[in-house]
Amino acid sequence: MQVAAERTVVAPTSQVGAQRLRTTDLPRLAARYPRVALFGAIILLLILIGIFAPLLAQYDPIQTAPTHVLEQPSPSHILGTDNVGRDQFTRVIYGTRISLGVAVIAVTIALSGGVLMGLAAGYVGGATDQVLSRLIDALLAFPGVLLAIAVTSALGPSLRNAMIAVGIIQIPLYFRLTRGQVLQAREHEYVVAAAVIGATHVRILARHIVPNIANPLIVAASISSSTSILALAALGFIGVGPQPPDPDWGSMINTASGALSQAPWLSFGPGIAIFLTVFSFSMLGDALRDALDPRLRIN
Amino acid sequence: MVPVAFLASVMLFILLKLTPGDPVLILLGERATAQNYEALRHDLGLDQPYPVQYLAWVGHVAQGDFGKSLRNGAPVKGEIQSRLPATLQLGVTALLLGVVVALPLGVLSAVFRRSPLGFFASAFSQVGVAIPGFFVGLVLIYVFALQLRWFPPGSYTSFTDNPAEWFKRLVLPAITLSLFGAATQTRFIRSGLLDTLHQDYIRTARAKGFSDAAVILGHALRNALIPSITLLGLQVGAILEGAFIVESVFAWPGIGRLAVQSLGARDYPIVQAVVLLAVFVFLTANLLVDIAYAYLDPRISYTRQRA
Repeated sequence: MQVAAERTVVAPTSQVGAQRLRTTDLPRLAARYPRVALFGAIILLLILIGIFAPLLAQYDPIQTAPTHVLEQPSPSHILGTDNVGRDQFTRVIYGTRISLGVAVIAVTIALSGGVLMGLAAGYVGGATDQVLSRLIDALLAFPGVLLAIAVTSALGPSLRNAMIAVGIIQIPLYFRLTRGQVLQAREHEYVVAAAVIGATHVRILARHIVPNIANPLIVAASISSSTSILALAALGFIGVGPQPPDPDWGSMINTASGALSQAPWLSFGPGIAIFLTVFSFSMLGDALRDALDPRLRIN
Repeated sequence: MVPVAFLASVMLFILLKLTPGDPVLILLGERATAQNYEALRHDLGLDQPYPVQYLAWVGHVAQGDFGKSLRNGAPVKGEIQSRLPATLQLGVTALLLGVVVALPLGVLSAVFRRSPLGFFASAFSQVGVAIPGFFVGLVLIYVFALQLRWFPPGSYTSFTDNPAEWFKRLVLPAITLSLFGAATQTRFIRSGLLDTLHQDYIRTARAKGFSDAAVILGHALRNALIPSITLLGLQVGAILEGAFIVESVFAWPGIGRLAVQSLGARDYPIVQAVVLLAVFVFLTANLLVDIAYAYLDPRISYTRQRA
């Protein structure tokens, strides 16, 4: 009876795996989930821009040119040049690498830390849950960016430390999500059934619980990519993130703010770039949530 | 609340200890010899075990003693006290402004969901959370201060000196700082109201013949607002974060700008005192939210109930 219960619940998952997604299915999927397709495409484009930055930008993002300081936008410098004569368009293009790189690494830190702790807290329960939950509450006592500032000021300002800090401040998001989902999943018949037929704890977690909480985690990853990029921009702007001469959007806006009256156009490139990236990730997250969880598709 | 505050303070203490630079060497500077190094280290209590140092630190902090600035040796407490009023004025104005904008926008967008207004409100809430505050601040300075010359580009005048000038200087930074909160709050009020409008008691109220306005404002909104009270606590956090950035953009002499300047000068005692203060304010705000919550929704009780 219990074995049968596990079969029926697990079966649909394996069927989905059997239906291999073909490239010919993509237009149909895109038509069904237009927002996922649109914002997914924008993010794919941003990734490609980051990868092919040297082909898209004709100048060097670091090399200064003292004879071309604060030039107005022109055909050769479409976003003008910054306070040390570098082409602003080139730096915005290269900045994509930093922002997306930070998003990937910070989300990886937050996801792995938060999910592991969340699984432990939700599955083991008891004292483990108490200790981990209080620890996460303590992290939540800090307004996120302030914790990142405190962490980077302790570790020293650098791109690497900014990534770590931005990752740490998002651990609570994944922890709470995972813990809550595990607490629910634990009570489900298929988990009880798996335990009855002698599955190990690791197997129950890996084969039965994690696959069932994957969807909300995918949504969270998209949304927290947007938060990561915004937080990094803030750190860069106040000077504790990536250090000069790295082409980081936040610190570029800081530079632009110093030349606001002479070169007001300078902040537009990085400003729009941050907005577009953050907006696309957060909209993709929303769209994925609607697509992956039909129960939420009410309004 | 108590274990959370304890763990948060331990975290901050660990960060304090990880901070690069030996405070004894920094304080002694050129005059450092092996002998007076050990003497000062002992005087500062830095030769004690970490748990003892932690207790001493908590004791000092509880009395408002945040140590001395590494830059000029002035007590951190005084530096913070002199800048706190400016931050409070800006933060409270931004918090109120956010609510004042979000409340009508959220309600109207839920009620007229399919109208251009509804579209505008949801666009505002999506864009407002994705756009960095410092970029908005720069655009506002450029348009309204440098081009139109309606407002000064930054800095602060105290209210008692010149109320009109105080207001003019407050407008742009307050708008910038309120944007994020207004956007999230609009979204929350909108979705909260949309949820409540489907409830049975709303249909009952309509069936009894109440007007639309009475139903929405009297019945639906009161319940829809409860979740957005929670958001208010989080918004205090967003405003504390935003203060660091917005004060820097507008040369607003508050604790956020003080902290950013101190970061640049590696003056960590000031940075950590400001962060500590922010954590304290944030925790207090969330405690108040929890209390308000129980007051507004009689179904919520924090005393243990039978299962």
